[in-house]
Amino acid sequence: MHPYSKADARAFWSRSVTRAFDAANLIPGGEPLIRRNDRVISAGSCFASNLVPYLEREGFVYHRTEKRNPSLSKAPGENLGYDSFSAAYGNVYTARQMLQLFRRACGEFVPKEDRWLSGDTIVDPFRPGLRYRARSSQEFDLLTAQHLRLTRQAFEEATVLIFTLGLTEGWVSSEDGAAYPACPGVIAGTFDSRRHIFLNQGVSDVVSDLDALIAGLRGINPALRLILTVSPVPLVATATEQHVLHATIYSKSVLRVAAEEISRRHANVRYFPAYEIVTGPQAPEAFFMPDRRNVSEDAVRTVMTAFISHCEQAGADRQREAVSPASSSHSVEFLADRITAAECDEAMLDEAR
Amino acid sequence: MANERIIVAGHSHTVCMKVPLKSPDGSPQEVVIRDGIVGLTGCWPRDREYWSRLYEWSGVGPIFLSWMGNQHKSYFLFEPEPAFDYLCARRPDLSLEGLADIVPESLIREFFKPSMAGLEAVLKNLKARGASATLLCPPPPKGDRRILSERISREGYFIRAAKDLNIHPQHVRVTDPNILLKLWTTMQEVMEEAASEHGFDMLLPPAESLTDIGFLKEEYWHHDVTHANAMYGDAVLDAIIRKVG
Repeated sequence: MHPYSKADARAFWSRSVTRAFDAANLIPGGEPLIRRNDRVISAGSCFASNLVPYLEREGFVYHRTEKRNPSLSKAPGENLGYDSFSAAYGNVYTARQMLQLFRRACGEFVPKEDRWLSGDTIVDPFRPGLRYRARSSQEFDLLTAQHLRLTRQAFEEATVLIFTLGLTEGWVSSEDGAAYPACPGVIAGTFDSRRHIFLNQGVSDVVSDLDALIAGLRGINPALRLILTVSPVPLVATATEQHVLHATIYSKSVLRVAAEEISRRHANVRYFPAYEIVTGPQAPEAFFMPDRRNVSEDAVRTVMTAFISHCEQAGADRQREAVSPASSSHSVEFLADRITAAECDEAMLDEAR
Repeated sequence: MANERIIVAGHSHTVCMKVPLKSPDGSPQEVVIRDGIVGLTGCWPRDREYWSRLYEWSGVGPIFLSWMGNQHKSYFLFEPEPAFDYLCARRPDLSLEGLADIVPESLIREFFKPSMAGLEAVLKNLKARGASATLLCPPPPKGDRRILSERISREGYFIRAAKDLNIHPQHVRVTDPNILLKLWTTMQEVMEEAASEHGFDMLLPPAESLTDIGFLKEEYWHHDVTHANAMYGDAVLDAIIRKVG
C-alpha cells in the first residue's frame, strides 16, 4: 500500500482529465463559494467583468455602491469597465493596484501625481479612460472623494470579494510607487521615463501585496471572504524584452503560485481555478477566439457553470430580489415631461384668452 | 413676404413675444409683433414646412431663433430618486445639495446633447443660406419651490398625468431650484456651443428679468411652471432691437 492507493479519482490524470473531465470537480467540496445571503463584490482584469452577469442571473446579489444615476441613463454609458464592477474603479490588473485602491479608499495613500490636465478637462491617472471627466480641480476632487468613499463602502459592506489577478507587469511612479492601470501615454497622460518606471512583480511581491490587502480588509471587514482567481487572458503586450508568450506564461505562473500561497496561508481565502479550466490541456481549442487571446463565451460559460455549482443554490425568491424594481425615477421623469408638454399646448389656449 | 426686418421664430418660448404657437390652419404664417419685427408661426409641433419657410426668409433680415428650452424641466422638474447634484463650471457659486449623488457636469452635458440635434440641423441650413441668426436663450427657471409646487398641484394636467402614471401627487417633490438653475445653465452652455459652431451667437435673458442669483423674477412668470410672460417677451424684444441696432 502507498498513498496513491487511497487517492480519489480526481488525483489521477487518466481518470479525471483524459476521461470524465468535469470542471466542477476541480473545486474541493465543502462550504459553498457564495451563499444565498452574500453580498458579492469583485475586482480584477477584463475577465473579471465576465463573471458579474452570470452571478446576477443566478440570483446572487452583486453589491454595487457606485452606480449610474438612473435618471441620467439616457446618456452613453461609461467607457471600458467603469460601470462593470461594484464601484467605478474599472479594471484592476495587479495585486499592487488592488492594494493601492484599498489604501486610497481608506485614506491611507494619496498619490503625488494624482491628476493630469488634458485640454479643459482633468484626467484621473488611476481611471484614465473615464468618459465623463472633471472640468475643474474642484470638481475632480469632489468626484474622486465620492468614488473612493463608495469604494470603501463596497469593501465594508461585502461578504465576499472575488479578485481576479491579471498581470504582474505594470508602471509605477518613481516618486511614491503609485501604480497606474495603464502605462501613462497609452490611454491618457504623457509618458515620462523619469517619473514612470516599469515593474514586473515576482511571486514574493504579489504575495506581499495580497498579504497587506487581506490585513487591511480584515481591519474594516473581519468576516469578508475572498475568492482569488487568475485571468486566463494573455498579455496584450509586454514591456520586458521577452516574447509576449514567454512574458505571459511568466506572469500567469507567478500569479498562480502567489494565489496558491495566499489561499493556503489565510483562512477565508479560496482559490477558484478559472485559469486551469480555460487554459489546461483538456480545454478545447474553442475556449479561445481565433486571436488566441480573447476568451470565448463557451469558456466563460464553462467557468461559471463550475463556479455556480459550488455556490448555494439560489431559490426563486432570490431571483425575484435580483430583478431590478421598476425605477420610480422613470415615472417621475414621465410626469415632468407630460407637464412641460402640456404647458406648451396650454400656451395655445392662452392666446385665445 | 413681409417687409419687416427682424424675424422671431421657433418653439414655445416665442409665445411670450406674441408669436402664436399655432396658426389657424397649421401652415407657416407671419405675424406682426411690433414695428419692424415679425414672428413665424405654423404647425405645432413644428414641421418641415415651418422650417423651410424660415430658410426662405434667410435673406430678409436677422433671425432670432427660440429652440426648445424646457429640457431641464422635462426630465428633472421633479426630484429623481436618488437625487443628484453637480458642480456647474459656469456657476461655481451655486452650492451642492448635501446628500445628493454627485455626478460629473460632463455627463449632464452629454445628456442634453441629443436634444440639440434638430437645432444643429436648423443652424446648418440657416448658415448655408447666409442667414444672420441669433439663438435666443430660454428664460431661466423660477426659483420658488413652494409657489411652483402649489401651482403644479392645482393643475388639471398634473393631476391627470400623475394618476395615469400611478404616482401620488403628494409623493413628488419639485427639484431644488438651485439644481434646476444649474441644469438650465449647462443646457444653455451646450446650446451656445451649438450656435457658435455655426458662427452664430446667443442672446441672453434680459438682465432686468433676473434675480440676484439668476432665477426669473416673479413678475416675469407666466402662470405655468415653464414659461415666461408677456412682460418678459417685451424685454426680450427690446433686447433684440438693441442688438440689431
